[in-house]
Amino acid sequence: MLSHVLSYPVAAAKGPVERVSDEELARRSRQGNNDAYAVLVERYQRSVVNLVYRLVGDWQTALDLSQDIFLHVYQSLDRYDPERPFKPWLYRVATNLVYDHLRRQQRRYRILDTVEVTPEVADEHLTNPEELALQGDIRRAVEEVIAALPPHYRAVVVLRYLEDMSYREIAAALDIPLGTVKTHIHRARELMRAELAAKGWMP
Amino acid sequence: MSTHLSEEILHAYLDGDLAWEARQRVREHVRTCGVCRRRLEDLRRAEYALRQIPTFTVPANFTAQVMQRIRTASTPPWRQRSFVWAAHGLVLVGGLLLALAVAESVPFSALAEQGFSLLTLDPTFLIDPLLLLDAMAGVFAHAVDGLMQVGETVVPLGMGLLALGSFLEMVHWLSTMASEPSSKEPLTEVRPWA
Repeated sequence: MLSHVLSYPVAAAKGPVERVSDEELARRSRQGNNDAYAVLVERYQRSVVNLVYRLVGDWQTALDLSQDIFLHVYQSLDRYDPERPFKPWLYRVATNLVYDHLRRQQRRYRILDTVEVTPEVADEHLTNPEELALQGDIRRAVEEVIAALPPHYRAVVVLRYLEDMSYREIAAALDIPLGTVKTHIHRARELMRAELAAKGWMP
Repeated sequence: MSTHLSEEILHAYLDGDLAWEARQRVREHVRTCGVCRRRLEDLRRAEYALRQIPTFTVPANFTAQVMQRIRTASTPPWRQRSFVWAAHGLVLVGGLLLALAVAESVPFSALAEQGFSLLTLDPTFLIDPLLLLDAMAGVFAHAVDGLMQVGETVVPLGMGLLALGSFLEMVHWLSTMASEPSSKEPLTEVRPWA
C-alpha cells in the first residue's frame, strides 16, 4: 500500500515551504482548496486520534471516529470564523462528536464511564533499560488514572498534558467554565499523586 | 504561626495563579516546613507523571483516507461507481429476461429426450446433419420453455428492469455531460517535499 505524501507549496517558486498558519489553511479550505485541508489533517491527525483514543479506549474506534471528525470539520468549515483560533474550534468539534459516540454506546451497551485502555506499542525516546522500565511503569500508571476518570475529566487532562493547552483554551474548546477546568486538573493531580503513592514511588 | 498551606494554595501555585506576593509566601513557607515541602513535591511529581501519557503513531494512509471520504461525500449519488454498476446490472438482467421471453417455447421432457439423443450421438445424425441442427435447436427451445413455465411475470419484469437500468444510465451520462469530471481524478498527488 503506497503512502501518499502531500505537501503544500505556499509559493509556486522553488524554495523552503514557509509555515502557513492553521487559520489561513482553514480559510483556504473554506474556499475549496482541498490541498490546504490535507495539510491541516496532516498537522492535527496525531493529536486528534490520540485524544479520541484516551476518551474511547480503543485504537481502531479512535481511528474511525477521527476520520468522521475530520470529515465533519471539513463540512463545517463555513461555520468557522478564521479570525478566531482554529485549534480550540477543532477540539470543540472533535470532543462533541466523541461525546455523541459515547452517549450512543452507553445507551446500547450501558458501558460505565471508565474504559479499558488497550495496550499499544508506545513511541520510545529513551535509552537505558532502567529508564525504560520506570517510564513504562509510570506510563501504565498514568494510563490507568486517566482511564478511571469520567470522560469530561479525561478530555481536560488530555488537552492540558498532551496538547499543552492553557486553561483558557481548554475552557473555550470544551465550552466549560474556567473554574471547572482547574478543578478537574486539581482532581487529576490528586488522583495521580495517590496512584504514585500506592505504587510506592514516592520516596 | 504553624498553619500549613492548603491544597488549594498548592494547586494554584503550580497553576501559576498566584500573585507575586502570594508566590513568595509559599516559597518562604516550604523552605522551613518539611511537611508542606513534601506535599508540594508530591504534587509536582504527579504533574510530571501526568505528562507521560503515551502517544501513538497514526497509520500513514490516514490523510489519504480522509480526503477520499471527503471526495465521496461531495460526489452526488448518481456520479458514484456503485450507481453505474447497478445501472449496468439492471440493463443486463432485464435484457436477458426479455431475450429469453421472445424465444419459442417447448416442454422440458422433449428437451431431455433430444438432449440425450444428442449426447449419445445417434447414428442417424451422421447420415443427415440437418437432423443434428434441428436437434440442437430443439434443445435450446426446450430450455426456454422451461423458463417460461416460471410465469408470465418474466416479460413485464424484464421490461421493467431494462427500463429502470436505461434510465439510471441516462441520468449518469447526463450528469457527466453537465459538470467537469471530478471523481475519476487520482486520489492524491505525490509531490516532492520542498
